[in-house]
Parts: sequence; C-alpha cells; structure tokens
Amino acid sequence: MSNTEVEILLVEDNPSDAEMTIRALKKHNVSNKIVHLHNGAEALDFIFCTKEFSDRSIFTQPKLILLDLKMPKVDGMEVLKKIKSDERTRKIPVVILTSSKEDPDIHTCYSLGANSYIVKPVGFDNFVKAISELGVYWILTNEPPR
Amino acid sequence: MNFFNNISTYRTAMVTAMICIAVSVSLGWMFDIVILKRPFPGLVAMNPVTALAFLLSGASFFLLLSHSYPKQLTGRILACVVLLIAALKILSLVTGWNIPVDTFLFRDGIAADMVGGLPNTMAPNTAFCFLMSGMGLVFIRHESPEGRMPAHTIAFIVGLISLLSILGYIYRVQAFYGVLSYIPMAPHTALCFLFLSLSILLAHPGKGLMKELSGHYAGSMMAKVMIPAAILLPSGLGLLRLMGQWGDLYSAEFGTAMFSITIITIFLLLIYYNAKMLNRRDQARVEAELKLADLNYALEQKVEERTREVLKNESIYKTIASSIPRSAILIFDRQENILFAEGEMLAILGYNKDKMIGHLAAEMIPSDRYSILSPPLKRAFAGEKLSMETQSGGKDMFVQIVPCLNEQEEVYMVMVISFDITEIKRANHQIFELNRNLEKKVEERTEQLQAVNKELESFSYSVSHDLRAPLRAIDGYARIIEEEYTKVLDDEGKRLLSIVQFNAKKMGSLIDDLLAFSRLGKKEMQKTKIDMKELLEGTLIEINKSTTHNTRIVLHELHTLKADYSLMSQVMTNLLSNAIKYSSKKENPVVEISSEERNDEIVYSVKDNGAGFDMKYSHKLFGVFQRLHTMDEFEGTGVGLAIVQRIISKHGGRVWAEARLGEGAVFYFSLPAN
Repeated sequence: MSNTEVEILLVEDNPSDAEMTIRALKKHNVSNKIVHLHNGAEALDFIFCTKEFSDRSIFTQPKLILLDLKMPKVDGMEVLKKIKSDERTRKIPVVILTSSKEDPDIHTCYSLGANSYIVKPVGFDNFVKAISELGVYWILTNEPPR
Repeated sequence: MNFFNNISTYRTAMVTAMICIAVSVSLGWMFDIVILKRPFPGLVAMNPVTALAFLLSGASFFLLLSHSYPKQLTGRILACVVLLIAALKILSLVTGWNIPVDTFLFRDGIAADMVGGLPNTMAPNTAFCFLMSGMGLVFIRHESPEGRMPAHTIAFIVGLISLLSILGYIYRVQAFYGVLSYIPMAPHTALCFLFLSLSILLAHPGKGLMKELSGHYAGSMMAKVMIPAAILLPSGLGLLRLMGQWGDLYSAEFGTAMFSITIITIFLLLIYYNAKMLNRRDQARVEAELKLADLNYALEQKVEERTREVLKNESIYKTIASSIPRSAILIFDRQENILFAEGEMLAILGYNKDKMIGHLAAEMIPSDRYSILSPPLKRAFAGEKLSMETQSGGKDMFVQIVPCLNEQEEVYMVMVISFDITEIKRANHQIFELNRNLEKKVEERTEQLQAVNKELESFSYSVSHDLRAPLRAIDGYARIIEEEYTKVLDDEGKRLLSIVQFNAKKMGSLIDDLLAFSRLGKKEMQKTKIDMKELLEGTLIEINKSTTHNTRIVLHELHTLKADYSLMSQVMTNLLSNAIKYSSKKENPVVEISSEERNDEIVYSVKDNGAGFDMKYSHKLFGVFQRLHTMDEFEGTGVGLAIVQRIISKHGGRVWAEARLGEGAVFYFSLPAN
C-alpha cells in the first residue's frame, strides 16, 4: 500500500461484507480514502508499520478503524487489545463491526477500550444505513484525536 | 384374765378360811373355848393336831404358789411334815401301836373332852385325807408327760371324801352322831378338806383335770355351769327326800323313788340342754366348715385360674422372646440368678437355654463375655437403663439392659436384650459406600453436563455469527443489483429480486428466534416478585417502539407473581405482540389482560378480538415453527408461542388457548400460587 493518507481502515475478512461496507461509505460521501485488510495480522502490520507496511509512518494513522471480530489468524479482539494498549495507537477510534450480539464479546471489547460496538444489521438497508451513519459521525461529526 | 383373777381370789379365800378355822380351833383348845373347838354342839371337835396340820397345809400351799425356789422348798418341807403326821397316825391305826401323834398337843384338854366316852383323836379318814393332801401338796406342780397332774386326782379324791362327810352330817347319818369305835371327821374338818382340795385343784387351772374345765370352749363353759348343779342338786334333793321321810310324809321306798325320778328328770333336762347347745354349736361349726369349704373351693378355682393365666402369660412371654429374630432375652435377679432365658441367639452363641434357668450368671456365661456384661448389670441394678454395642461369637451385638421395678419402685430384676446387628451394620456400610459412589457419579455427571452446556454456548455463538453473514450478503447484493441495474430490470426481474431479499430477511428472523429459543434452556431462573402491571407497561413501551398499531390495551387488576423477570417479559412480549398482530386487521382492535385465582393457581389471560383460529388446530399452537396462518395473512415464524410455553413450563405452569374463528382468541397461562 501507499503512504497516502488513510482515513478509514476496514479490517474485514468477508469480501461481500467488505464490498458492501465500502460501497455504503462511498455512496454516502463519507470517505474515499479507505483501506481494506483481510485479517488481524495484516491490520497489526499496517498499524504498527511492520512487514510489508514498514514504509508507513506510525504517526500517520487512520481517522477510524472498523474492526470485525471473527477473523482468521489474528482475530479482532487481539487487534483491539494491541491497538489500545500501545501509547502511540491508543487514541485511534476503533469501532467494532461484527455479526455477534453476544454479551461476552460486547463486554470484553469495551473493557479493552473499543470506542463503539455495532452489530451488523441483517437487512441490507439497515446495514447501509448503519455504516453511513457511523461513517458520517466518526469522520465528519466527531473531532478526531490529535 | 378376769377368770384367772377370780380363781386366785377363790383359792386365796378358801385357804385363808381354812387357816382361820384352824387358828380358831387352836385358840379354842388353848383357851378352852368350847364354841371354837366344837361349833356344832354334840358333834365332834377338831383335833388340835388336825388344826396344826391344816395350818401347815395352808402355809405350804401359799409357799408353793410362789415363784421363788427357796419358798417352794419350804412349802414342800411343810407338806412333808403333814405327810409325816398322817403317816404316823395311819401306822398307829394299822399296826395298833400307840403313837400319840394326835394327842401330844393339849393332852389334858383332849383327855377332858370326850364324846361318847372316847377322847378326841384324829379320825382315820382325816389321817387318810391328810396323807393324800400332803402328797398332793408335794406334787402340786408335777405334770406327767401326757399332761396329767396327780395332785388334781388326789385333790378330787379328798374332795369327794370331804363332801361325803359333809353330806353325812347334813343327812344326819347316825354313825356320825352316835357313839362309834372311832371318832368321825369333824364337820369343820370336812369343810377344811373341801377348801383345801378345791384350792389344790385351782392351783393350776389350765392343766391336768382342770384343763377341760377352764378356757372358753363349749365344754368348759357348760362344766362351769353344771358342776355346781351336779353337786348341789342331788345333795339338796337328797335332803329334801330325807326331810319328807323324817316328817313321815312318805316311806323310805317312795322317797327313794321320788329322788330317783327327780334325778332322772334333772339328768334328762341337763342332757337335753346340753344336746341342744352342742347341736347348735356343731351346726354352726358345720355351717362354718361348709362356708369355708366353699371359700376354699372358690379360692382354689381362683388359684387355678391365676395359675393358668400365669402359665399362659409365661408361654406368651416365651413365644414373644423366642420370636424376635436374631435376639436373646435374659432376666437376672439381684443375686445374678438367671430367671428367664429365651431367643434364638442363645443357641447361636453356644448357650443351652433350658440349662441356664436357676443358675448364676457367672456360672453360665463364659468369663470374657461375663466381664463385659457385669459392670453394666450392676449399674442397672442401681437403676440405670443402658445400651451398648459389643462383639460376641464373631457377631456384632446391640445390647439393651433394662431395670425392672416392683410396686415399691425398687429394682428387683434386670432384663438384658441382645440383637444381632451384624447384617444391619453391613447393610449400613453398603449404603454408605453406595452413597459415596453416587455422589462421585453425580459430580462426574455435573461436569459432563457443564461441558455439554459449554458446547451449546459455542454452538449458538457460531450460529449467531456465521449464519448471519451470508444472509447479509444475499440481501445486500440483491439490493445492489436492484439499485445499479434498475434500468435494465423489468418488473418481473424486480419482483424476483424482492423475493430474494424477503427470504433473506425471513431467514434472519428464524435464526434470531431459534437462538432465543435455545438460549432459554441455558439461563438460570431468578425468581422475584413481579408487579405485572409494571412489567406489561414496560413491554408495551418496547412493542410500541417497533410496531405501530391502534390497538386499545385494557389492563385489569393483575395479581403479582413470583417469576423470572426477563423471561416473563418475553412471555408477555410474545403474547401481546401476537394479540396486537392478529387483531390489527379489525376496525377496533381491543386487547384485554386480566388474572384470576383458580384452585391454588393464578391464571392470566390475554384476550383479543382479532382473527382467532379454529379450535381443532389448537394442539398445534405451541409447536415450534407451527403456524395456523400463512405469511400473507400474518407474518411470523411460529416460534413465539413455543417460547412462551417453554418459559411457563419452566415455572411449573401451563399454557392453553381458546378461540373462535374470526372473532378473537384468549390465551391463558397459569402459575402455581405460592
């Protein structure tokens, strides 16, 4: 990937979900600068500028991370934990975007420092609505941390 | 006692009288007072030696009556002197020797006092009587082994002789009055002999001849009355007869005949009276004997009955004691004799129960067992009731030692009851082991179940996550096609796409409902007191958020119930949503919720005036995914009521419904009232 400014990092292993999410964000003019990674390991490499992303600057971080929980290799919980426990990356807003409405997951994520927890609506309409709303909020409405 | 007092009075009086007479005669001879010598003029005077002999006899009598031996000895000596005098006189009479025994006193006086030309001497019968009396006095206490007293016999003879003399004087027997070759017994001598003999007889009233005349038996009582009569009546009648003859009223023969007749009559009367009295007494005796025999018989019957009862009881006790399985009963008295031994354990432990009774515990019980038994046995005799466990002959025994109290609340015997508890102990041990195993099994089972639960959890987790994702994709892409290619699609194409979307949504609902249904089993119920009105209001708010409706909800007074709040919320949510949904097509949809108490249950009802259903399908209502309407009519997955039923069953209640097609339905659920 290039060093161009990333606004939204989407960590999602399901390609359909990812496509729909990106489409929704673009359609509603939330952002164009979206990076899509397929699993937790890639996400961590990106954030911490390691491996194939070593030419990235750690100080240039996305405005929002949309994080799915269930992913192969390193899952979302792990990524969340790593992000939120590192001084350099702690402030990045992380929105958990997942199918699971299980209480333990919600509880654990918030304990680890997730900023928000969204359950992907089943219906497409609702899904698009949710994505666009959260996108608008976090990118346009919310004042990002400096 | 009174009788005895009288006797001693009589004899004292008589002997005193005798002594007085003797003294006055002596004084008469001493001072030559004729009246004292000869109270009856013309009749014989008492010889002075006779008087002396009477004096000695009297003194002897009194001395012999005392209990001191020296006095008695003196008495006997005096009596011997009297004997000597008498013996000498008789000797002189028999042999013709002149032994002046009766003339040595007042010799001159005697010579001067003559009756019929003869000087005063002791009469032969007087001497004889003194001989007899002397012997009587000497032997006054003597009693033969058969109980006869010779003194009494002697006295009786002397008495008869004196009576004869007295009668002679009364009947004016010529020999007594006229001149004789020997001097007869003086009248007062005869009287004195009578007194003396009677006194000797009365000296020992309960013995010898007097035995039959003393006491309170019929014979004695009769004798006491009849003896005086027997003496006085013939004497008196004899005199009467003679007096008649003297007065020349009748001849001697007639007189004798009259006398005989009178005596006969008197005899007959006496005999009759005697017979009557004896008969009465005998009758009474026989009656008493019969009564006694009856009583005896009754007593014997009672004794027999009692004996039979005792034997019956004994056999009952024996039967009881020997019927209790694996037991032995022993009863000991204070000396540790074995009074009772029964029970099958006795033979098993090596005892012979028949040989045990009557022997000491220490003899019959081996010393090792005895040493265990002895201390508690002693404590039992002190009043303690004990029980203990011990081993005997390889068996575990439970022993109860019980003291038995008599009417005075004292321990008079102790019962020792032993039970063989070997089997029981073994069974107990087995049960204990089984329990332990059971508990272990329960623990294992619980672990297994917990593992299974965990599996289910992860199952529902993956269901919730993995199943939903593709759904979203189906729905989403269908939408994208719809949006991007709407110009290219015709109506049919659009319709087909919408069907795809619709089914995706349906699948999503199914998954949610199924998850909810399965999650029911996992959660533990937390029962709290629920205000139904409050819960329903909350439920309605939630329903109103997700559905718009114009149903009028009527809440009546509702009982509070004790249940899990979240589960009951779900129940009410499902029931209310159903009610609202199925009445949504009516013009004035009304839903009423009420509750009532029925037979220890509280029954809640949710009534709507909606579509209702055909009662013949009512059994399908609560099945999972069962519906009585199509999706065109009313949407729904058919899980809601199944969930309601599951929750209510968990609370121990029931659900059912009643409806009329097109008019509405009432859904009931009951919960136990506690």
